[in-house]
Amino acid sequence: MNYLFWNTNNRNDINCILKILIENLSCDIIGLAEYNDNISNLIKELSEDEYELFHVQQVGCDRIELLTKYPPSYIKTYTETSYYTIKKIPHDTLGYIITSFVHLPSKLYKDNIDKFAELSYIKQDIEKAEVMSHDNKSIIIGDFNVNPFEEPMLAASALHSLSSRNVARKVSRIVEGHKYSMFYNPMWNLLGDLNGLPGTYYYADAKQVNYFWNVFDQVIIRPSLINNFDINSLQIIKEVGNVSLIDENGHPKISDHLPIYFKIN
Amino acid sequence: MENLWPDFSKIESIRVPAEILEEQAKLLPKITNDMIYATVEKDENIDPYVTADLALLDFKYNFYIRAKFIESYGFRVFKLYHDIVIYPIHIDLDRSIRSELGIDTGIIQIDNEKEFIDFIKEVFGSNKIRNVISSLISLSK
Repeated sequence: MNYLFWNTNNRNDINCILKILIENLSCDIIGLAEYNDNISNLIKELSEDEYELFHVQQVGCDRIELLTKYPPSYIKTYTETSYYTIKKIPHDTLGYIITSFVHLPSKLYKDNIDKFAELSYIKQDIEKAEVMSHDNKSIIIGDFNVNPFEEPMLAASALHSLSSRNVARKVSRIVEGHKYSMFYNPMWNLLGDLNGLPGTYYYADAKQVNYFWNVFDQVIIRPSLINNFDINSLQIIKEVGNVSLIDENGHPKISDHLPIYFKIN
Repeated sequence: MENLWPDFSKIESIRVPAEILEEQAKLLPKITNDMIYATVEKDENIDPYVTADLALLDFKYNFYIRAKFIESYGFRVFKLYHDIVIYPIHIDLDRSIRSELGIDTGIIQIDNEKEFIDFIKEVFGSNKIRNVISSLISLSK
């Protein structure tokens, strides 16, 4: 199955590009942050091309819009906050995957405590959902507003999402007497510019340390899904069809974020 | 030997926050045609990134809004922490509600029962809570 996530920066004219993306990439599950166009129109336009998707109505997490090829009645929602939603979504061959979508704000309060807290809560809530569904096939997709190498993504009691499949296959480790489960973060493979764009979000600031390119939009997966995750499909989309999502400097131009895409087989 | 203990018979009893929330949770089905309810759930997780001090507090609860006909769904309104002496209590409120109420501190400290009651009244009256409940009601039909 094919997954797409995009923060569309509140563009109210994004449907035409989304339709091209969705159709060209044969997307089955689409998560959108800062979506401000008309989702019913998008579904209708796709349907006219015989591409059927359903809109899953959000309740507590109105920062994410979700389109899936499965009717909403097939999808179960566990815990929600304003910044994330945890769902159980069917998968063509794997039964179900606990699929969480997250959109953290770019500026939180005094320091990084809020991001740590929110990401540790989402992991706790996912673990609760995994117990309830007797299944630990879980992924988290979204705009985390932190990079893969920053502490909220790495810390054991936060997301504990690691760069190495072999390490993540250990499944958990004990820190200060507490056991913490792991995720694998395939986005580490997209850092740097060797094989394409070095990030999903570009920001230039006159500070001593500035990354310029950030990989804020990510997918992380449980070790149980490593073998099913098509690592070669993972990409930061810079163009689709004859539509370029970047300007002449290679920076995002349609939205301030670039979409990410991947497959789970 | 002389009894060294003070007279406890005149000590005012304090209602624990969980009890206050449970009382309010029971009222929600009555005003939503038995479709929506709330739960107060003890939380055993470690939260080291909240702050080191809060992580050591003995009592931690999550307050959720749930729907009778939408199995497993829960919107977490806040996490509540307190110690054996109860007040002050500390609340980690949903970020959207926090923003709506113009609260710019991370963890909210509440010093007594009256303040707590005023606080939850404000939270329950927020647009976010109204929207969550009305969405759940329409999805439940």
